[in-house]
Amino acid sequence: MTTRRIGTWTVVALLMILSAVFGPAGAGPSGSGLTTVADIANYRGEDRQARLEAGARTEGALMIYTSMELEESQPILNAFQAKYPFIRGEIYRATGEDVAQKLITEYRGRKYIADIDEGTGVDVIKLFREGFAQSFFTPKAGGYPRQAKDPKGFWVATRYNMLVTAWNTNVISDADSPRRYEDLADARWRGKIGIEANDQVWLANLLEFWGEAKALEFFRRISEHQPLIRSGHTLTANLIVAGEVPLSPTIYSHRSELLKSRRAPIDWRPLQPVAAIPNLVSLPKNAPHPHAAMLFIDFLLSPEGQEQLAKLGRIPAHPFVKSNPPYLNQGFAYRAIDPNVFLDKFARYDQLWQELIIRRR
Amino acid sequence: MLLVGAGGLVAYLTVLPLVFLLYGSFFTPSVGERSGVFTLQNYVHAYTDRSTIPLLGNSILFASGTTVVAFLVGTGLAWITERTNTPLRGVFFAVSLIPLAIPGILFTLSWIFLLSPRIGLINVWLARLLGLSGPIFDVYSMGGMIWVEGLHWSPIVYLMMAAAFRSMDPALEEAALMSGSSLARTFYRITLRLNLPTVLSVFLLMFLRGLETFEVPTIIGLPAGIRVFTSQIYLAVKSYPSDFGLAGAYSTVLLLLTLAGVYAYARVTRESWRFATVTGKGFRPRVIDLGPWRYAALVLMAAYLVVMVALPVFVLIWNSVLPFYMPPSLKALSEVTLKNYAFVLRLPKTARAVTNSIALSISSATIIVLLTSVIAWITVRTRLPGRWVLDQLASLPLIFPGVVMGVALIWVYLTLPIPIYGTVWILLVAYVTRYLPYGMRASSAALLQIHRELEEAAETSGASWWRTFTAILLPLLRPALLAGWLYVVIVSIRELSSSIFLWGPGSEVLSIYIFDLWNTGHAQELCALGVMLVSGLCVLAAASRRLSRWQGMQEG
Repeated sequence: MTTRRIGTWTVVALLMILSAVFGPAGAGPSGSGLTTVADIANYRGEDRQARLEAGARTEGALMIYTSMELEESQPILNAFQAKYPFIRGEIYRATGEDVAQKLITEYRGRKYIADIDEGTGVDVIKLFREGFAQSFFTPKAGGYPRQAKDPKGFWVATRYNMLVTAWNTNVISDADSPRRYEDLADARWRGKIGIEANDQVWLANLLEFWGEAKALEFFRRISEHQPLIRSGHTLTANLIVAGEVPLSPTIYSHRSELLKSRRAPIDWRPLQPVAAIPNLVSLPKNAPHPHAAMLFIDFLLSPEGQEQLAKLGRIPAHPFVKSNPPYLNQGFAYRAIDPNVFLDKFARYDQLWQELIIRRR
Repeated sequence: MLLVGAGGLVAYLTVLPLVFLLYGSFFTPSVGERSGVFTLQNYVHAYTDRSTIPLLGNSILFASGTTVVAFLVGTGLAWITERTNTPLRGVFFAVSLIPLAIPGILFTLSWIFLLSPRIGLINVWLARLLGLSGPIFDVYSMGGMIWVEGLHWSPIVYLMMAAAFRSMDPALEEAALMSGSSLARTFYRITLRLNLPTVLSVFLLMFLRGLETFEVPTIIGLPAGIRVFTSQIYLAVKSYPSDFGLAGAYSTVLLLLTLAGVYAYARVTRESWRFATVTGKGFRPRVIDLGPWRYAALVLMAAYLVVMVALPVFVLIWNSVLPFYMPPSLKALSEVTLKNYAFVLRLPKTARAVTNSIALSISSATIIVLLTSVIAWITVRTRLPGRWVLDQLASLPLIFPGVVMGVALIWVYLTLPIPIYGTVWILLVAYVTRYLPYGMRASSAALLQIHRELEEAAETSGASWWRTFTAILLPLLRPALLAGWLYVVIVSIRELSSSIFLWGPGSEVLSIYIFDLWNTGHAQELCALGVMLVSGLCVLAAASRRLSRWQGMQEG
């Protein structure tokens, strides 16, 4: 190979690197007259809807990163596409942690694929903390309560997961089932309590509500019961149905209700205070299809999208959309977890969690 | 020229991720604008923290345990079917391919349904039969982990050992038997010793698999509170902020363990010509007459099939037709439904995952077999300077646990201007890189057994290198290469730990899909998918067997 050819190759390689670094970052041509993701996300003019639609028509695509199961996210996307047939949507579904991990890694490597980040609050908030989220304005968030949206506009809650206590009705009779958290400290629960492996949020909720002394005493008692550790909330619920786990205080109300409606031997009760875990939607900073993304955020937060969620058995975040059945989130006291506060203290919670629940068995 | 081409490709595949891994292991995790800073803390933690000792102990115990279980079971069966006159052994060879079609995650889950303390079928049945109150087995233990993992790999051992036994000249065995040596003594002193290169590769392979395996340590080990290096690395990567540096430092512990294994292997096979049992001398593989014991061997084979195939497949089928899990009973029978099958078939991702998985596994296996047979020839036969580097390079991915390989490859392809990130191509690169060493071991072990004299004869008769390679070596190597190919196909279809970091929308693969169904609690739907998958793969296996018989490969 001659020196000149090596030189040519070096130039080509450099150009490729440069284009990879700077290429996808710039916003492409848009049909709305708005150019940057920030401008599009925060546009408040009267013609907002028309402009977003015009822009989304040019984009023609939408990539949703979510931790919502396909069973539920696919129907939501279908309803959205029925409204905007010119947008071709795709879903990347994984666990909340994996979605956050993937997005953050991609942004570090300057690959911008995701238009929407939806999922468990604690995981979605990581994107914001890394500086990879874009604040946005949506008229649909207007009616949402204060704790359901970020004051700076980086996220809005879409749905809630309520941590309740569920048990297998063949193994535990209604009379024997616990009424209060304190009941679980009783020695007869030894070896019968199942706990989801990553529910530090459950510990955090009781710790903040009861105070350190009472909470730690309670968790020590649970720890002496040698809890059965399983990962995944739905999985743990299914193991209750199967009889492998007799009872668990870390089950989502909507999941046990769904299984119960299929005549599975499971029942549940909200032991108070229930931890309400918010799921959030947020907009990645360099979303390649920002117009379509904003339309989707509007749709998801609108009564229409929230009704869809309720119909699928999830608990909507919208204050006026009732969940189905309504007692999934009504008739009991719950504390909404603030993902920011939780993440700030996560190291402490996790240390206690590993010490008390996971390791000492 | 050949050396440079193969060497360049192998170096690109294997060195690059290692560089990224080691580089990353010296940095703290970066959060937001604050990027990672240089540190030695990861190494200090990985090597001196008290928690490392039980990790090391568990990892080694688990890996050795699975090696022993897989080796005993697999080799015993291979000997029975290849070297003895046990009835129905031909049928067994065909059926023994079925367990290979059960992906690791399905196999693990089915054994949870069999051995779980409360609902495990075996526990429930045994308790009923013996009138016991408590469970006998607990899958959530080190013993349970070893049992499931060891059993899971036994078909691979079986395939490799069967290939070795088949191409072995039985003259020495016969001589030993005729001189009055017992069967066991002959097996130990002659059969095993003659196949030492294969035995050692099998041991090395199983041990390394045991060190870096992912499914059993995460699905069974984590609930049981038993941590090994891979689950610890996985947790480090999954934590927030993702501690890739600590994962990298933990990986270097695995790296050192692996290096020790590879070094030991190289020492033992140095005088490899002594193991050349396929020579120019003609022989017909003959089998040993077991007498009445052949029926005992038959029972052993049948028991293996029950444990390996019948029980897991039964649990899968049973679960796939229920709305939620129930132990077998008349009441449960009245709830039987096909809804789970409908659910799986309706999801648009199913077809895509199946197509992607099949295409990926077949292409990676083919690329690996072609590449490694050339590399093996260079390293075993030629005197080219630097050939040992090639061997080392091709073995390099052994030190990568899949989890780390996944993360390392993300960084490689997010940094380099090669636009394959998030597509199926990055998965292909991952599979080819990860399983290159296994193809390499299969090819070189097989090549070691073939005496040089056949090639020399071809050369003397004026044949070109290419013609010698294709007309003499490849046909002789074919059983071993086919075994290697099949192995890579199987492990690629099962591959989960790298894929989980590398897949994107459009490049879904089956293992990811199954893992996701399990994570989201769709155990029943997962079993329905599993049943369809296993039946599909069985059909494929049967077809390939037909094909290979048609090519005249299965003599004797």
